[in-house]
Amino acid sequence: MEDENNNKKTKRNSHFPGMFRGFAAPVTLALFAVPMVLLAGLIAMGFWAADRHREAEELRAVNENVCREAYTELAGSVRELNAELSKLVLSEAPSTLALSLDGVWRESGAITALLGRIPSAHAENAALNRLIVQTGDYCRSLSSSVLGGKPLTENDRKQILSLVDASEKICTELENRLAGGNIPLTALDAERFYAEPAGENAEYPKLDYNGPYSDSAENRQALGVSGDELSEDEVKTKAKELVALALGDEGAAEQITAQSLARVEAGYPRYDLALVLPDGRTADIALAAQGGQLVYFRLYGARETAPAEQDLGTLKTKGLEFLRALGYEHAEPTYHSTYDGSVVVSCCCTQGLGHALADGEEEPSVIMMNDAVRLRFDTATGDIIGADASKCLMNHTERSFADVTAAEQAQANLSPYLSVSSSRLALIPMDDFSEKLCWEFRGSFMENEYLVYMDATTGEEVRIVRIISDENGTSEA
Amino acid sequence: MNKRKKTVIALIIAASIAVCAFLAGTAFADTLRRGSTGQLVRELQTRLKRWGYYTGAVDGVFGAGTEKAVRLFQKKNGLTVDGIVGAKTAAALGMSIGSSPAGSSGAGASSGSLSLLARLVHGEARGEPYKGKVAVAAVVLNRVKSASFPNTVAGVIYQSGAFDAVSDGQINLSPDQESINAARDAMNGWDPTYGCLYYYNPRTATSRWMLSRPVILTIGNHAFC
Repeated sequence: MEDENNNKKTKRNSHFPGMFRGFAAPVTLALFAVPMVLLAGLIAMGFWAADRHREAEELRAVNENVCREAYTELAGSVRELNAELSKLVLSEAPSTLALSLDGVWRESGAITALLGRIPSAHAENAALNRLIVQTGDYCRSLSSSVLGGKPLTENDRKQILSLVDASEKICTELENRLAGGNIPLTALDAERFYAEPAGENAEYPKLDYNGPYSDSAENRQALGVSGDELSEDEVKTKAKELVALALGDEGAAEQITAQSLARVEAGYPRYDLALVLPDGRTADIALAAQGGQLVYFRLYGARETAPAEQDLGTLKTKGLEFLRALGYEHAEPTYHSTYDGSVVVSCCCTQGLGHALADGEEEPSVIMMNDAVRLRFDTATGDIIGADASKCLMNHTERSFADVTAAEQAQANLSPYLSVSSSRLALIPMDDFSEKLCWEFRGSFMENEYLVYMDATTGEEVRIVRIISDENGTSEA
Repeated sequence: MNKRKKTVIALIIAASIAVCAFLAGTAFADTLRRGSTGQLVRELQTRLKRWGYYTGAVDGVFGAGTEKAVRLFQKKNGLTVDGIVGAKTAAALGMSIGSSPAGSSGAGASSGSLSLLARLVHGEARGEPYKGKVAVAAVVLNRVKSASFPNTVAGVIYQSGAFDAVSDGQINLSPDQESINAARDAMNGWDPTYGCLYYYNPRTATSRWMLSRPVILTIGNHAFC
């Protein structure tokens, strides 16, 4: 019997290599299978890792090529910019000047886009970006002057010369890097990209001009802020009164509580406040520290009330009353947009021209597009739940106007394709932060509405705006 | 049937239920109906209550009372009366309930820039107060207007290393209605930062360059400079 058992064991163990002899069969199986499974897993992982590595390499190559292309195009565009700038120095004829100025503006846009495609940190290329954008902006403003018959001044030529010099240095640096292969190898390593020697403090020419991107644009004074400096208590009281006024319940001011107040030194000093209404709703409001004019306010939450039809005309009338209470005596609604249960109406201040256009006629009114206040209404309750007067505070002041031509004279210069429906005087903002008094002609062409602005003094065309109207409101394009 | 077979069958049934539940959830993600719960239902109830259609509690549960109010709203506004808040009813309510993939236009987000800005706000300022959301959107728009930055919304948002939400992919999440509204408010001109070009969270920021900039104001968890 014992021999028979020994024979069975021998037969069973004979299926496995010698090293497993002496173990019970299941243990022997496990000792054999586990390493095999691990080995198979390891091999599979190896293949998987190799596949991932190949994919990563392909991705890296794509990234590198995109960056190399951007870098190469960047160098080319800066060289083109440099060429156009140098032509400007030599050019005297308005037609060639205008072409080169346009060329600089176009290359400036291309370079800015390319700078965004190379993965350098903002701090590294901010000054370069600024120089390029301002160069394009400056040349665009010069282009308007040249087309208006004004030649380049000596100061303009000097500034352009300094730009030729700066752009020459930049493109030489870029080209040297390209020639030496010293360009990025990976999009993930920002350090290997073109970095300005002095980062954001790099020394580049300062351009003296007025335009949307000029230094002067960032240092403008708020013309609408005036009055005595308010104490914190006065600010709190005024803020509560303004919110109560917006809600049409001036008696509620005393029940409103100020949750926080902070003075902010940005441009002109302001106070930011958070208020809590008796019904638990909250509001953010900001007032100018000097004079206490409303900068903005926004009420959150909804008043629980039965819905009522809110006619847009009624809301506009209510808004104009609110503006009068804020001190903007004369204003007119312009655009509006409806979203999220509210309607935002833009209102612009108006001012008399100062004289009649003809004997016996009334003094016409001028709408001042820069003096805009946006009002937000709850469409369910009709409450004024927001206001933004920040743009108006920057521009609002008493203007004096020169003599203007009759509307008919300006209208004679309009395109015959425009079918005019109305006209009025409007003071519109220009790119250099000046304002131009224009005749605004509203009309239609091919089922679209347009506003065409003609210089009220010379009768020349200044700007064309297309009105976009849909079920949500009106805006301009 | 032995124990192993029973276990396998139970697992298959459980997996099937999970898959069905997932598919059902996906199919009804674009509607609110009886049985729906959550923040969107709460928003729905708030709006219905504010306009007088709903008198119950704002509890985030779409029950019989909410359904009745929705039916009343639909009837009053000339919509199909089915008690279900779909795209048309949501639009009439001024709500966005769609689970459209990021990048497609949702209710109220008509332009590409608005949609992109709303996604950035959602990725960067989720959990911040409303004013803080508008402030983040305003910083982007202030950069567009600055000579030192790219001059498009997309250029600013995708500038290398500019926003964490772009780096970690959170910008690809679908924005909620509040983020869309905040982006729209900023595009309408509201700038609670008064022209700031940068912001950071003082608790998590490590960049010495950023931390060296003077702080103009703080809104929620973000310091603006």
